[in-house]
Amino acid sequence: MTPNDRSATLDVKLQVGQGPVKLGQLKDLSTQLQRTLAALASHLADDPDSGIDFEIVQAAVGSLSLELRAVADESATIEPGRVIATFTEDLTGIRRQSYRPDLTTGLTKQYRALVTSLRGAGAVVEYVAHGQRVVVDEAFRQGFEIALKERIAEDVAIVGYLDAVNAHREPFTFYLYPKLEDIDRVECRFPADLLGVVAGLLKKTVKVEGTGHFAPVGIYPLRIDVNRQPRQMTWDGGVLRSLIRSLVLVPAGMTLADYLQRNREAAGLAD
Amino acid sequence: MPIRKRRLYWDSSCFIAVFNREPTTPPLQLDALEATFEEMLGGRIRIITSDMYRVEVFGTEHAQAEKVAHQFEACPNFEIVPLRTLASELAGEMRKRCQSATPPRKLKSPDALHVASGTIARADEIWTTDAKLVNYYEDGLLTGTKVCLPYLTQIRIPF
Repeated sequence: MTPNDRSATLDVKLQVGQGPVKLGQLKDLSTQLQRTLAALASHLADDPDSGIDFEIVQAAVGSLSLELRAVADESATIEPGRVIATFTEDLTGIRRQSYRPDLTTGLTKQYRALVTSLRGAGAVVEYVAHGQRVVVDEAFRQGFEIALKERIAEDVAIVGYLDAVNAHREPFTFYLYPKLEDIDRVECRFPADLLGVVAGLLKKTVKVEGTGHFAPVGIYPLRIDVNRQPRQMTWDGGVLRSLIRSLVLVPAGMTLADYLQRNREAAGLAD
Repeated sequence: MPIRKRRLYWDSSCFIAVFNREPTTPPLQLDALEATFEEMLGGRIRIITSDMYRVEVFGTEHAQAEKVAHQFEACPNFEIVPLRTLASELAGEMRKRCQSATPPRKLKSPDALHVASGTIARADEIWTTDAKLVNYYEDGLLTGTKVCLPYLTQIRIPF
């Protein structure tokens, strides 16, 4: 199959508003668009190397009007059309606060960077694909930011790999890498009195507890304000292996379904 | 980004089946669960569940639950997904879809929350021993994430 058989187009148009758009802002828009489409393709393919590339195939004279083509190479496991369609659907969905269930925090951060890249310049960017049109103007940008506003939750705990401690200037931070590979690292801010403890836990698997700042999507917070001492976690495969067919959970004469229902009712989880 | 391992979401019925001394599920499902649990311990796949598993599997056995929870938390190939607003919203949508189906189906809230959690965690498949839940998925009433009974992928014959 040749690349031309597996391609999809996205039209990008920029209209300058009341103020000038600087070349640097244009460069930023182009960078963020490339990053967003690449991140989306990797997300959909579950593979950092998605096999999808993006080419400019047409540019109009006198304005910024680009025709981008997403092209799949032979290794691509997803169709370029899906990338482009998901791109416009995600932008529209997030704006309406209707989030694709498996959107990740990392990808939404990238969408936010793209949408806000010409904020304040009054410029309007239009994306058109498959008959769907998304107009990113100031109202869209504001709505998008509201839709992605952080939610705060107390008593959040995450286990992950502790790395990259910043102990030079406040806020003191480290990064926690959660267990699921495609999830972005979580920024953890900690008070000065935990400096020694955190330094001692560098490059170890730890449990971090504190106040979580969440995006509306994803399972992990964007940031944790650590309010308890992180603890190193060690596991023993033998302990978990010894659990297999060894516990007396379901009482004699009861089915698994009845046992589950009983526990749900006791915990207040049943309907 | 490291290479992504196969990611299975287990609802609580899978853990009860694999931990309970007396068999509670058909032998083929039990074999699949045990083999997959071993694969997880060996680091070849990841198993994910929701933090509801604790009360659903162990009930009031708090000491046992605590010991197991610590090991699960520390295990690099096991992840526990906290219930969040998005999961509740998604679960609510699935329950409405089931109620509006012809004939109407009854999807229990905790089952819907498990499917929602597996979807949000981007699991490749959601495993359950509840055939009814699998039927709901096959009828298009849940999410796009496949819901299935436990199965063995391949029999490895050493030579």
